[in-house]
Amino acid sequence: MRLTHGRVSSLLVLLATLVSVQHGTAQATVLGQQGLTFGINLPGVNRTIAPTDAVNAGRFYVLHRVGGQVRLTFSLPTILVKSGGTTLKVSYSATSAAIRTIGTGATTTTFDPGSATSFSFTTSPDIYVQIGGTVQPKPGQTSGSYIGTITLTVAVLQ
Amino acid sequence: MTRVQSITLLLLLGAANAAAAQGASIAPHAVVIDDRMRSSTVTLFNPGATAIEVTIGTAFGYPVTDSTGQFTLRALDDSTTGSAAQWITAYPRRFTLPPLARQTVRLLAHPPQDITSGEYWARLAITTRAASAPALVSDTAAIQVGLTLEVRTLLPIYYRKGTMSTSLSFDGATAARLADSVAFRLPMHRDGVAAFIGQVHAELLDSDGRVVREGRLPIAVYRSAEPRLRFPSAGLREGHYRLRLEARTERPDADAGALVQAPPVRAEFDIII
Repeated sequence: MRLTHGRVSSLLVLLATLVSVQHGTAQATVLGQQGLTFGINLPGVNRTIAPTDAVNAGRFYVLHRVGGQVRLTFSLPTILVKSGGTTLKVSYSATSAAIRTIGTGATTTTFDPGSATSFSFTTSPDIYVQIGGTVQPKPGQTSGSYIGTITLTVAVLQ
Repeated sequence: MTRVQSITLLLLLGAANAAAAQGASIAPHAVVIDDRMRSSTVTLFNPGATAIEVTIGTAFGYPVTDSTGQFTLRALDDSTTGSAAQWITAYPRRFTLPPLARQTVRLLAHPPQDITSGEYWARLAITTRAASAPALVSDTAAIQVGLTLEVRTLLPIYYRKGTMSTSLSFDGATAARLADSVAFRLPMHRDGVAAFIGQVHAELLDSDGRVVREGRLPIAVYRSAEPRLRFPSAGLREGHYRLRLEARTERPDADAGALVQAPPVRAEFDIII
């Protein structure tokens, strides 16, 4: 297994969590690890970030228990605003989100972040949930920092 | 936390640059409140290296199955029958959790005086976000775009008054052949006063009585459900089969005390594939 920086961080967060939380008690851990960034963009030029982009895609880490099920629901901004009120469109496709399993036989499955999806932890207690998207700067789009917030709701199905 | 644990934490997190992570570990992930005690606690731990803002509330909803047989969470109005969301309150409801810190949140129940015996449900909604959002590079000549992350976790709360009982009835089974699998729909409903949370062990037997497929399906049946179970179809010939089901109130992801126990429920159905 190749250990990426994100994986090393997750493993250590996992260890830290196990050390800190009461021994033997079932727990749920959901972390936002990396924001979705589109970098520097040009007016009139769309830019798409794939959910598998290790550097720019947004990344959440979910730790539950093998045998459990969760429901994942995104709340996604479609208009980003910069100070002064200027707006910028961002959109998401049917493959803009992905679930990446961890461990032996790890897989990546894309899904539509506009629809909720359920996931069963069958072999590993943790997954990454990743999110990409497309920004659509208009010709003449004013420069500046456009920001927004992505919310991931993780419902334990029990 | 012992000194050894504290040092271990600091070493781990310092080495990991866990600053990137913002969110919380929450234990337990299912909360049981007994009517005699009327309170319980959950513990939040911030494993990251930056402070997080935490907001806690309650809502009403419970798992149901959607049209595809997947379990999903049905959100309902707090005043719906069976809801405990209106009368369970978390303390504190808003706070900032420093890096590596823990916070105990107390859940207090103030049920109406006339509630009858039974199980009442709510969802604990815990929202976490970075206490200070990371700033983009201050290059005012460029178009920069960044989206920060927020996390919302919904956990079950069971408020129990009186003697608990639960059971399950299988209402039939149907099969549909898909491209690479056979999908079974298993309508079922819950009896007793508490949710039936556990798993179904399913075996598919051929006409000679041999088990040709086997699988497990986690279930959470609060009122009724129709989950889908899929088996690979490769090598399964068309014909008559028997589906043998056994539901138990056991789940590897649940603390035993959170589940109302019931004797195993068994059923068998003839299936044509």
